[in-house]
Amino acid sequence: MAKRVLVTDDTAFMRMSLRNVLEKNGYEVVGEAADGEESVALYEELRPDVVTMDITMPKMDGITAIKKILEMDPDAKVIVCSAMGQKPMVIEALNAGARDFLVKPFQPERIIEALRKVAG
Amino acid sequence: MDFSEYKDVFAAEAREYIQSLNENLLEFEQTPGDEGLIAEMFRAAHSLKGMAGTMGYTQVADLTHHMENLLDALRQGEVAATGDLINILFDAVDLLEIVLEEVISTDHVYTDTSQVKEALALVLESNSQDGGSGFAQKAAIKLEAPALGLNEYDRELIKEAVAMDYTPLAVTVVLRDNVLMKSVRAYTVFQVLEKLGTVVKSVPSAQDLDDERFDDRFTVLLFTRHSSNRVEDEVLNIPEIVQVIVGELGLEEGEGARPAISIESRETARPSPGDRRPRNGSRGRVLEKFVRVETERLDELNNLVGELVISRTQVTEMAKHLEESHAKAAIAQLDRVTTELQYAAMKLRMVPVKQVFDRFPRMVRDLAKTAGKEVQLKVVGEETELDRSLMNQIGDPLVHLIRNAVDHGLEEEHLRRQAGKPAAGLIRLEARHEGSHVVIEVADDGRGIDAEKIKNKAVEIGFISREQAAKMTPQEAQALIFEPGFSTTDEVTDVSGRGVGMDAVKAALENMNGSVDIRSELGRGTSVSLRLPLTLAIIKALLVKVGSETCAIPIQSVRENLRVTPKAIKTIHGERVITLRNEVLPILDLSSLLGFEAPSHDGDLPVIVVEAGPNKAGFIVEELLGQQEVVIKSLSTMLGDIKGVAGATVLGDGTVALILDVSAVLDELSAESR
Repeated sequence: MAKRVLVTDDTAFMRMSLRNVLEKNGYEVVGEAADGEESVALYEELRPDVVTMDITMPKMDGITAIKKILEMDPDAKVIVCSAMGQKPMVIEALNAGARDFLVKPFQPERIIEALRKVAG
Repeated sequence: MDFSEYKDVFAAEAREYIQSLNENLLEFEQTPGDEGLIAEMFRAAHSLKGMAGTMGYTQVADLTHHMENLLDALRQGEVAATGDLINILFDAVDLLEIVLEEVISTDHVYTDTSQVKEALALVLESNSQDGGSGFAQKAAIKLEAPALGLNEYDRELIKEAVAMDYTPLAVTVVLRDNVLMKSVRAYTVFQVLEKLGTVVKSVPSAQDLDDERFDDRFTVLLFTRHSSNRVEDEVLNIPEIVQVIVGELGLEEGEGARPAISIESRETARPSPGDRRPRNGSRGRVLEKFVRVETERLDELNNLVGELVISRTQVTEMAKHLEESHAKAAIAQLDRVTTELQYAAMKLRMVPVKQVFDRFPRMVRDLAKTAGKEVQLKVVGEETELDRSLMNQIGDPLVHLIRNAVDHGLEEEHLRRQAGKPAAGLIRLEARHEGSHVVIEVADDGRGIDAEKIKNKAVEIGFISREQAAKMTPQEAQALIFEPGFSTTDEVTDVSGRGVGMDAVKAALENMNGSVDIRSELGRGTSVSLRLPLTLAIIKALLVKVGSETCAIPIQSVRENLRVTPKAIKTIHGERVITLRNEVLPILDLSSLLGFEAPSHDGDLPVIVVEAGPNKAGFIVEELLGQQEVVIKSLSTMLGDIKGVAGATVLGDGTVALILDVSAVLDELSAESR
C-alpha cells in the first residue's frame, strides 16, 4: 500500500512540486497544509505515515507544529524542509524530533531517499 | 580534491612541527638515545609528510619521508645516534623549513633537496647496525596510522571503556557528494550514534564539522555495547551516507608500558558515485580548545573595539547631563560591558613570548658553534604574554642582543678559566611582568662593559667633552653605546663588549613605546632590559590642559602631581629647577615646549613629575583634567613622526588630544643640558 504523506508549506508552488515528485514515485499525498496550525489539525484528522514540514510559515511555524504533532503522536514521522541558511532552525527541528531534513531547492532523488528511509 | 582553503592551517601547523623538531633535536643532541624524543620527532616528520602529501607538495613529502626513515631506524635501534647523524638531521630540518616556506608562499619548491636526501639515506646506511635492510618496508606499513590521532587521554578513556565492557569503535562516515547543509547531516549522524553509545571524539573536531570545515567524511570514536554491524546498519540508514567504515579499536599491551592501538577495519563496499578510498592518516592534530583566526580579523576587531571605546566615552559624557535614570542605568551598563569587551579584545591580542623565544635555543647553539664557545642558554618566563604586534617587533632587537652576548659579551674559554668562571658561558633570557610593563632581559656572565674605556673612546672620537665625561656616572657612560653614531663605530665594538646596532635596538624599543636599560659590572657580566608596554592600543593617561589644548600624558611615566609656588623655581646653570625632597628637579613649561601659547600664571603652578628611564623632570601645565583610558591613534600616516608626540586620541567630547612621548621629551632635555 502506498505510503500516505501530508505536505506542509505556505507556498502553493512548493506544495505542488512536492506532490508532483511524491506521486510520481508511488506515494499518496493525502493532504496539503499551508501553515502549522492547519498541519496539526490535518495530522489529527488524517494520521498520515509521513509529514513534510516547512519551517517559516504564518500562524504557526514548523518547529512548533512538529512539537504539537509529536505530543499527539510520539511516533509521528516528520521531515523538516528548510531553505539554505536556516541551519539553527533545522537543528532545533531535529532536536524536537524531526526524523530527517530536506534543503530547498529540492532535489527529487533526495526527497525520495528521505521518504524511503523515514517511512520505511 | 582541492585543499587550498586549508593552506593557512597547513602553514601554521607545519611551522609548529618544524619548531618542535628543532627543539627536540636540540634536546636529543644533549641526551642522545632518548626514545621519547625520537618518537616525538618521528611523529612530527610523519605528520608533516602526511600533511604535505595531502596538500600535494610531493617534494616536501619526499624530504620528510627520508627523515622519517632515518628517525624510524633510530627508533627501532637499527642505527646509532652519532654526531654526524644529528647534524644531518639539523640540516634536514633547516632545509625542510626553507622548502616549506617556499611552498607556503609560492606552491613550488625551488631549493634542491636531493643532496640532503642523499645524506639522510647515506647516514642511514653507514650507521646501520644490522645491515639496514628491510626497514623501508616497515616504514611503509607504519603509514597506515589510525585516523583518530589518539592521545594519552583518549587511550586512558579507551582502557576504562573496555574495562566497563564497552567496545571502542572507530566509525568513519562518508557523505555523498554535494550534500546541502552537510554540517546538519553530520549532526544527524551524531544523533544516531549517541543513541547507540557515547561519542568520545571526532576528527575533524565537532566544531570543525559544525562549521562545515570538512570534506566528505569524518571519523568518530564511539564507545558502544552494540555490535559493529548494528552501528553500521544504523548509520547507513541515515540519508546521504554512501559508506560507513567501522573498525574495532583493540588494546595491545606491547613490551612497553604504552599500549599500541590497532584498527581492524572492515569496509562495507557500497558502489556509488563519488565513492573514494578512505584517506590515510589524519589531517594534523585536532585543536579542540583553540581556534585559529586570521590576524587581520583580530586587528579589525581591536580597531572596532577602539572606536567603540571612544563612542562609549562620548555617550557616558553626555549621560552626565541626563535626568532620566533609566537611560543613565542603561548607559552605565553599556559602559561596563564595553570595558569588559575592551579587556577581552585586548587579551585576544596577547600571545606568550614563547613564540619568539622558541627560536633562540637553536640560534645560540649555532652562534656558539661558530664562535667556538660553549654557551648555555637559560630561558625564564616564556609563558609571559605580550601584545602580538609587539611580539612581531621584539624579535630583531632580541636577536641583536643575544648575538652580541655570544659574540662579544662572553669571553673565550681560556679567559673565563683565568677569571675563575665556569668554562661554559651563561646567557639568561627572561621575561616578566613589572606593573603594566613586560620586561625582557638578556643577561650574560661575560666580561662586562668598561665604563672608563667607553668614556675615553667617546672623548677620543669627539662624541663628548672631557668635562662631560668626568661628570658621567658609569651607568651613563654605559648607556652611551645606545647613542647613534657611537655604537656603530667599529673600534668601539671590542671595547664595549657590545657590537653594532645598539642604537637600532633603542630605536626599535622607542617605536614600541618601550625603553631599554643596561646594567653592567666589569668582569661579572652585562644585562640589557627591554621594557615594553603590555599593549600598544590603549593606555591610561593623565589629561592636562596646556594653553588652549588638551594633552594626554601616559600614566606610566607620571610619578606625582605638585603645586609649586613660582618663587620656589630657581635657575641653576641656565636651567629652571625646583628642589623636591633634596633632589634637584628640572622644570619645563609644557606649553612653550609644545609651541602653544603660554598662559600667564597667578599663584601656585600645577606641576606633573614625570620619569622615563634615568631622566626625571617636572612639567608645568595649566590645569589637571583627570585620568582616562585613551586609544592611541598613530599620527605617522598623516603627519609623520613628531618628536615628543607619541600619537593622538579622540576624547569623549570629540576633541583631539596629543599624547605626549615623555621619554623622547626627557631625552631631548638631557641632551640639551649636556
